[in-house]
Amino acid sequence: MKRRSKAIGTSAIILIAVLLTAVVLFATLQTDLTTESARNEQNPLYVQSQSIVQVRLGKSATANNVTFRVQNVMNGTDPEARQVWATYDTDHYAPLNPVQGSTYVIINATVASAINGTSPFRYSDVVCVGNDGRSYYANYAVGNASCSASLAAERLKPGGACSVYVAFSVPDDVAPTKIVYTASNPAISVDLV
Amino acid sequence: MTSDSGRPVRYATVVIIALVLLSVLLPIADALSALGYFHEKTYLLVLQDNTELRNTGGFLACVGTIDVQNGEPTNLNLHYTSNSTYANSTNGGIIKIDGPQSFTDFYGTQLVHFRDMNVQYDFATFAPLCAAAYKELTGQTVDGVISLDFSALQELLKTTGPVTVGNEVITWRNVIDRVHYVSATATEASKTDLTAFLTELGNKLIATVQAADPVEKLLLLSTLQTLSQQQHLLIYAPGALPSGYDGAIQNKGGDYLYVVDSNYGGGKADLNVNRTITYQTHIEDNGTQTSNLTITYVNNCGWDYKVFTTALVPNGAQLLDARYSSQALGPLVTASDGLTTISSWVVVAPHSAANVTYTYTLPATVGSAGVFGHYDLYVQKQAGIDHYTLNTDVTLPHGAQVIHESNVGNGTVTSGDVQVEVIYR
Repeated sequence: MKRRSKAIGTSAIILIAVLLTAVVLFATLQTDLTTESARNEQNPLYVQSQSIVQVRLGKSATANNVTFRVQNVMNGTDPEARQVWATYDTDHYAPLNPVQGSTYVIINATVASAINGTSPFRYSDVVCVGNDGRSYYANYAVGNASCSASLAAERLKPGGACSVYVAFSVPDDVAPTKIVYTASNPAISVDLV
Repeated sequence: MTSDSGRPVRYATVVIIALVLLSVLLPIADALSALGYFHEKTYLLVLQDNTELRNTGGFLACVGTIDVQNGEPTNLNLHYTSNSTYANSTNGGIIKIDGPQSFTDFYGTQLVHFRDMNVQYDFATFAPLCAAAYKELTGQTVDGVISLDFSALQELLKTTGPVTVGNEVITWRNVIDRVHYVSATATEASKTDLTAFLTELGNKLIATVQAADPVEKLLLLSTLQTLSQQQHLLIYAPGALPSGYDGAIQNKGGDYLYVVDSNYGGGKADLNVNRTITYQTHIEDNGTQTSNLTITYVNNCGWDYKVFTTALVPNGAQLLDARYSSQALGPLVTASDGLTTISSWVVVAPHSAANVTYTYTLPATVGSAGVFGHYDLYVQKQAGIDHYTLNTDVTLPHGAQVIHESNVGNGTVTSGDVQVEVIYR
């Protein structure tokens, strides 16, 4: 009888130990999943290239074959942005109503070929850097007819500047600190603050 | 107990163990078969753009096939759903549909473009029709149909982190806009730019998942399960998966409500249109009901939102009244899937709200168990919608007292189906 009681007691202790281990492992796994989820959901940290040209808002910089200037920065509710989106019928494809917890940052940039020929340019090479230190990549771009054609062809024609509006989706609590054209060497960094 | 008298017991035990093993092993075998462990499976992949809502989740942005062998997806092959894409199309990619009656009666046609053919009320009905149409257009047979919408793409990218497509960084924040940009600026009718972009994105996601560590794979499984519950991921694989993944109509008896909307002509508006479903029902002393259903749309876009909306309610419902707060056509009452359907076409002006209200009677749906009455309402969420607000109110027969109730009240914001229950005496 005594031996049986001892066996039952040992079994109970082992069972409790196994259950506790399972609970701890499950909790650890949950924490890992939550951490992993939060990490992957965030945009990558911005890593500044070694060689940059730094300019202020409204000032032009030329690097390689492209001249780049950020004229203005606005949000998705700005009448200017709304007007541009409506004029070019873009809102039917990309309404400026962000997902919950996010907002659109929209820049108006002027880009031009700096040589006597066409220059490659992709608006997706323009990155918005937030005050959280992360890179936010372009969502959509709008320009006038000839500019949109250049954007679609990813080449700037010689002569004349292209005025382009580029939208970025950023978290509500993040403010843009700089706009970086990353395709040139040196990269062109426009300070917004 | 002698050995002879124990024999039947032993036989019965062996049979029971065999049945238990079979019941466990058969679903596993089915699942392994679906994942291509016995021989390669080919699935029709349907990418539904739920920013332009259609009955089964969204506009058919892209379709194609993907092979699965030993659990590994390979050979992703996508194409745009325009009529010019299909070599076997002798009729301009036009498909003949035989329902639902609400659609064929309202639009006066049984002929639709392939890309507009998801007019059925649920994916489980649409999927085999889509597979048959795909075979007719391309000559290719598939083992099942998998649907993903753009919300699923976002959630997958949240799980995997950013991927690089054609030197562009694609994140959950920009994926929908990027797909729309590539589609809008594609120069050819077959939109090869779009299909190339989506194929590379799909292959990058697959590669990221294959290279993931166990924790990331578990996270992905959890994401897929949630997407399936919210009907952003739908899988039709007859015989291979238990029900619940194919978005089938869940008419379980009792009261039932399933609002199915299609945005025809409202552009990529649906992530910016909020829906509220308000359902008030009055249970009479004889168990019959009089119900008021109001569907409210808030259009946050700068243009008209035009929606063809159908409410599926229990069979035998009699519509008494329909009221609209904006430009509308209807109501049209038909029957489908053992249910009564009430349809209307409604226009919601920019930056404004509009609603449609139906009043109808229902035959007795209330169950009883002894002295207790039992009212059940199942509210099914349409595939492709991220979330909606549900308000419910149940008025009981005279003198009835509530014993228990769940999900009755206002302001329930939900991204899935809702079971409303009231027990009274």
